[in-house]
Amino acid sequence: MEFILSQLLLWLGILFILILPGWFFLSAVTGTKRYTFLERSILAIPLSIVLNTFLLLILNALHVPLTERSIFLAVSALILLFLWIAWQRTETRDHTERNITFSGKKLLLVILLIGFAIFMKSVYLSDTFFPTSTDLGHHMFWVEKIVTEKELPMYEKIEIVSNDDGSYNLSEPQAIADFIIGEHTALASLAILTRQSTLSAFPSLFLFLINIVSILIIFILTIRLFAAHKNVQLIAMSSLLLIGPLYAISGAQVKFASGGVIGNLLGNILIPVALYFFYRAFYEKSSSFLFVGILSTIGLAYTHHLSAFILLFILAFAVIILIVTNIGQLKSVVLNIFKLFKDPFVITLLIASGLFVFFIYTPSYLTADAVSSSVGAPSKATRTGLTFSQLMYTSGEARFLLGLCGTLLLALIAILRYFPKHLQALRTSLPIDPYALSLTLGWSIALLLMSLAPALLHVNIISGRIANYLTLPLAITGGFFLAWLFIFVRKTELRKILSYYIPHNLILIFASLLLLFIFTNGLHDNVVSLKKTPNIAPALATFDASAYAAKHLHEDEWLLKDHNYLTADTWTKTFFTRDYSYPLSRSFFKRYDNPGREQCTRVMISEPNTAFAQQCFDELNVTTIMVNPEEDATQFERSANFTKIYVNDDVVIYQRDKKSL
Amino acid sequence: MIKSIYKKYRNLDPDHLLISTIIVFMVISFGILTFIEKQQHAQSDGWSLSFVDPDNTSTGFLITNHTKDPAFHYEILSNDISIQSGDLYIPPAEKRIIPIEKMNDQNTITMKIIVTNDDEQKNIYK
Repeated sequence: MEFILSQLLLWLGILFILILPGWFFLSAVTGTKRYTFLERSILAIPLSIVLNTFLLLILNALHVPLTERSIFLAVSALILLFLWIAWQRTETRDHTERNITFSGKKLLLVILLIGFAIFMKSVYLSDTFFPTSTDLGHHMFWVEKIVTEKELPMYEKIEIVSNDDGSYNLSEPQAIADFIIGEHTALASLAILTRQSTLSAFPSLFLFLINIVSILIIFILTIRLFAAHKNVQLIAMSSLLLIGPLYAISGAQVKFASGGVIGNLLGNILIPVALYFFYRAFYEKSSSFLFVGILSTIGLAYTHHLSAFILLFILAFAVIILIVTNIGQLKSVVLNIFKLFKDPFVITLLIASGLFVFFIYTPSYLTADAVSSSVGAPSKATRTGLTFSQLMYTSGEARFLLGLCGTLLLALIAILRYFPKHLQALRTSLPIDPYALSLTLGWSIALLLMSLAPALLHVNIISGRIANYLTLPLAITGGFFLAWLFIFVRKTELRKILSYYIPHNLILIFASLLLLFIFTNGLHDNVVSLKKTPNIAPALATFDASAYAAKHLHEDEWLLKDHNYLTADTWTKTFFTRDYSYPLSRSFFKRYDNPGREQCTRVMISEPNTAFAQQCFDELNVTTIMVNPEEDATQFERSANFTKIYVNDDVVIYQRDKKSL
Repeated sequence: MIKSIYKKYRNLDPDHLLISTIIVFMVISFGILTFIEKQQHAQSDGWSLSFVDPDNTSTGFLITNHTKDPAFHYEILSNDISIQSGDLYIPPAEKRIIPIEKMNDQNTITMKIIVTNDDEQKNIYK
C-alpha cells in the first residue's frame, strides 16, 4: 500500500510541478489553438522546469522558507495567474495544420518506437539506477541541502589551505562555479512536495523522464521544421527512430540519467525548446513565441552554462546562414525580426531578466574567470577537437553518417537558391522554409565545428562534452535524409532516370542493406552499453556507516573518508549536508602528483602515525576516519591513537582517542 | 468493461491516444523500477558492529544483522580479561543493543568487544 501511495504522490507531484504550470503558461502567453495536444503536453514540461526555477529564486529572495506549504501555494498562485490571463485572451481560429497529426498505422509505429525506447532505457536503468554514481551524489548533496535547510544554497566549499610556514588550515567557504541553481530546483521542489528521498531511485527516475521528454521534443520539433513537406510524418518518424530506440543508452541518453549528468540532460530539453519557439516566432512572425523562446533561453542560462553557451553558438550560426541564404530579401528579414523584438512584452522580459541577474540572483558561473577560461585557444589536448572517427563513434556511426548526409543535402538546398530556375525545381521537391533551413543547418554546422575544430571558433571546452550535443541535430538531419532516401527509392523523376542504368532490384537491395546497417548499429550500441547487475551491498554498507557517523559526530568534528576503495562514498555528504567538502576525501592517488596539491588527505589515511599526519589531524580537526577494512585498516589497527567504533563487511570507522587530541 | 475501455481508447483523438499511451508506459516503467529499487535496498547482507555511544564506549554496543544466520556470540574484554560474554539471537534485518554491564573497574585502559557470527568475527575497541 505504501508503495502505491508513494508512486501516486510522485505522479501527482510531477503533474503539479512539471506539467500544469507550463501548460497554463502556454495558454496565457501564446494561446492554446496554436499547438496540437501532443506539442502542448510535451512543451509544458521544460517550461514548467524553467518557471519552477524562477519561482524558487523569487521565494528565496523574499526569504520565504521552501516548505511543502510555500511551494504548493506559490505554484498554485502561479497556475491561477496564468488561468486568469488565459481567460482574458480572445483566441482566433485554429492555427494547427492537420497534416501534422498521426493516425492509423503511422500512430501505431510511433507508439512502437517510443515504447521500445522506453523499454530499452528501463532495462538499462534496472541495473544502474541504484544511487551510487559520483556525479549524482554531488548533485543530490545540494538537493538535500535545499530540502533540509529550506532555502537555496550558496554554491561554495571549504578548502584545505597550506600556509607558507608549512601549517594547514580550513578556509572560509569559497564560491564554486561547478553547479548552477536550475540543476537542483525541480528535484528539490519534487522532493519537498512528494517527500521522495534523494537516497533512492527518485533522482534517476526524474532524469529518465527528462530524457524521454527530450526525445519527444525532437519529434515535435522535426514535425514543425518540415511541416511544409508532404512527407513530414515520415521525416518525423525517421528522426524518432534515430533518437529513440536506436542508440537509446550511450552518449547523452539514459546513461546520463543513472550517471547524474543533470545539466546536460536538462540542456537537451531546453535547447530544442528554445529553438522551437525561436523558429515559430520568426516563421509565423509572432512576438508571443519570441517571448517564450527568450524565457527558455534565460531559463537555460540559469540551468546549465555549457548548454547556454552552445545555444548561443547555434543561434549565431543560424542567423549567419539565414543572412547568407536570403541576401536578396535581407532588408525585409531584418525588419521582420526587428518588429518582433520591438514588442513591449519582449522588451519588458529582456529588461526584467537583466534586473533579475543583477539584483535577485546571479548564476555562479558568471565571473570573468569562468567566461575567459571557456573562450580562447584550446588549452589542453582534450579541448583541441575530436577526430572524425572519434566523433562518428560518439554519435553512433549510422546516425552520424545519415546526419552528415542530411546536413549536406540541406546545404545543397540552400545553395540551389543561387542557381538558374531549372535547377531550382529540385529544391521545390524538398520544401523547407528558410527559417527551418537556417536553424537546422546552423545547429548541425555549429556543433560539428565546435567538436572537430574548436580552435576556429575560439572555444576552449572539453571536445567530448560538446560532441554529446551533436546527437540531437543529427537525429533531425539524419531523419530527413533517411526519409528522402525512402521517397527517392519509391518514386522520383531522378529514380526513373537512374533505373535505366541501375536495376530496380539493386536499388531495393541497397535500401534494405542500409536499413539493416542502421538497425544493427543502433541496437548493437544498446547491447554493448548494458551492464551486468551490480552488487549493491557495498553501497548499502557505506550508507549504513554514513548514517552512523552522521548521528554521532559533533558539529565541529571533521570526518575523512576514502574515495578509492569505498563504494558510493560521495553520497556520504548527503547524510550530513554541512559543507560540500564535508566529509573530506582522500582522492584518487594520481591527483596527488599535481604540483601544489595538499597531501594531508592522503597521509591521514595512508600514513596516520607519522608526524606530518598528526599535524594534519590537529590543524584540520579531523577526528574520524572512514575506510575500507580490507585496504586501509592495518595502519589504524597498529596505532594506539585510534578507537574502532564501527565496522561492517565493507566499511570501518576509526576515531582518534580524545587523549591524543 | 475491458472491451468498452478499449473501444473508448481506440476512439480517442490520435494525439490524446499517443500521450495517454506514453503516460501508461512511463507509469509502468517507474513502478517496476521503484519496486526493483525497494528490493535492492532489502539486499543488504553482512552484519555491522558499533558502539552505541562512541564518546562513552562503556554504555553498550549495537549489532545489526542482515545475514540469514541469527546466531551471534559475543565477548567483552577489559584490559584483555574477559568480563562478559554470551550468545545472542538476532533475526535477519533486525538489530540489538547489548549493554555492557560489568564496567566497574576504574583501571580499564583498553576495552575490546569481539562478536562472532557463523565463523566470521568482528571487533571494536577503544
